Amino acid sequence: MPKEIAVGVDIGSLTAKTVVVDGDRRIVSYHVVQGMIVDEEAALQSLERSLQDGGVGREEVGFLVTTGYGRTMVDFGDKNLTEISCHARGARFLLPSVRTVIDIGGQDSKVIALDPQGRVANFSMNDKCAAGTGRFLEVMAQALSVELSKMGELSLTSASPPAISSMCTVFAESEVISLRARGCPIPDIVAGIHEAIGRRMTSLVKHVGLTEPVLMSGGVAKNQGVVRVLERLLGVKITVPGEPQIVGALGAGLFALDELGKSRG
Amino acid sequence: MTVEGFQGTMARFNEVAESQYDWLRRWKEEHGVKIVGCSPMQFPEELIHAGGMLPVVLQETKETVTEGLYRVHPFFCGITRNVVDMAAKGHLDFFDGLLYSNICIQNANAALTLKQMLPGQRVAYVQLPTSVNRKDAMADTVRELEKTKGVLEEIAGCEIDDAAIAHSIALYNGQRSLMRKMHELCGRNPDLLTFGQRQTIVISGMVMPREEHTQLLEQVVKGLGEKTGEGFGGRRIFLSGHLCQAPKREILDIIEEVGGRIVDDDLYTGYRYYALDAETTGSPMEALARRYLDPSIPVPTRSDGKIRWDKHLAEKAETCKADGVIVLLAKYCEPHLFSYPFIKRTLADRGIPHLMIETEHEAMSLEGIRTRVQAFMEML
Repeated sequence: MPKEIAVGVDIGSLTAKTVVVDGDRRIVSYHVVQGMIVDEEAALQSLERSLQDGGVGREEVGFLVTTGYGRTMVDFGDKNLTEISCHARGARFLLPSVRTVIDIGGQDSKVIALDPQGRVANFSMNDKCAAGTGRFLEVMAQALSVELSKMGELSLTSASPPAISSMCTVFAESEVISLRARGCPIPDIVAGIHEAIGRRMTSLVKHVGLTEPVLMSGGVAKNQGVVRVLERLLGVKITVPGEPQIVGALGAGLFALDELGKSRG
Repeated sequence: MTVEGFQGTMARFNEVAESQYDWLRRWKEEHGVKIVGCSPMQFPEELIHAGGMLPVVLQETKETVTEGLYRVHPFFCGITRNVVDMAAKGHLDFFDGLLYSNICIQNANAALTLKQMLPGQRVAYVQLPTSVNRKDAMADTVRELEKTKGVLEEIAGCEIDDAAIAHSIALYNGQRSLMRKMHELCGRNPDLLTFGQRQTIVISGMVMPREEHTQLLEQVVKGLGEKTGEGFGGRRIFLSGHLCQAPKREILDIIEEVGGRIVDDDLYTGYRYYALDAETTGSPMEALARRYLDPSIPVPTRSDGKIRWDKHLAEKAETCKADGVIVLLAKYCEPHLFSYPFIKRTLADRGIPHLMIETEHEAMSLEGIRTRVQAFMEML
């Protein structure tokens, strides 16, 4: 009996995500392991949980594509592809007309331009430091003693966000602590942090050019404060899928499905 | 050439290319021959060779810039800061002379800095014309080369005559011709040698005695010519940029590991170094000047006004049927930075995909570069 199940595993710096896809291009199940140092064990945990949730046996998986920062770290994949290709593919699946993908993950931020056929036409990613990424937000959340997941909501109540001048995670943390010591309200500081991330992403967007529709993926897309800032700075409406963290793994799963198709001729 | 013979030759080239300053110091102790270093790009090394001395094109090393930090601005490119740092640490004290030219402001500044730092050594500044199609460019170039010859005669302690220069030109032409042959063979089948190996061959050829290098290279090229098969997998890449330093080996390895095959290039430590010969008839000084002024291989530090680098690059990429161009741009390299917007636009206008990687002397995020290069290959 032919194996119809394809799997994509996105091994990022802070999370491991797996998406199981069937031969009808339906998402059977997915699982996100987060909040730890991601190693092979975390990736395996994500894989096993998603297979279990989907009621799929390991032997039923016909092809597995790994992606993300740790894509070559594990030995259970049949092929590895970059997160650039996989986020583009996943985004195209979720929003077929998408032309720009903004992805902010744990330590990477990238902007991907797709051509009308859905192929990657250009991309830009942070290459010097991880300022403005998920890890940056985590450090700021710790410095302010607020929950990471509450930052977006909190920032929407801000009346007057201060300018955060430094984007170096360490210097920005000092700046945030100083602002707090001067009595600046937490919602304002959080909004200032989101503004800083937005400005940084805007320059990446300019590198590749902005064409609508725009989709945002990655864990930071769950932060509605950052999404609102980006929408305002870029002057566009941004689509955020229900589960933005799995877009890369979904793309990997779809590429895996292509490979299954090839093997069947 | 046997496998063992090839490995032995590559080990010799590698020894020179990987630790050129240590190797040169030992070589000088052993042979007692004077060594003159010159800054990269366009300086006619033949003049040094004709004076019975060993010409060496100064290379960037992996050494962290420490003692030389305050000698030059932190916004100078890596190779400039690295060479000044090497001088500050005493690693250049065995050179009998250093020649620096006006290829860029940073290089010119390095000449002044080195002159001050190395009072016991001869550091000469060579001012070659930057606009090569001016009517007096030829006369100016010959005059400057004559002046430089005078400096070299002082260092060598002997006269450098036309016959010696002609002999050196012939030797260099032979070496360049072999490198072009290697370029051609590897362009047809890049799997014959890794690009890193090709770089090792070229860089060692800028350092070790040219007679020995030419002899060894002849055997390598003969061996490459005997290999059959032209088919190879992977994406055809044109590698551009790095005006005066060698690319980091790690980046070259990444390009090949993720499926890229470099079929042509315009690097200084590549095609631009060996593309043109000097004439072997007439006045040898004029032949060297003509080679310098030849605009057919454009470079932004020696402008012609008619042949533009961006258009030349696009045409070369099209001719070699490159799937894409990877541009290596050294951080703070002003001549390249001035040219890059034109390159970006021209490649885009012609539908040639390209990826620009900014490189630094200091540590770089290689995993990030791997992702970008692999994504570029996937995109092609």
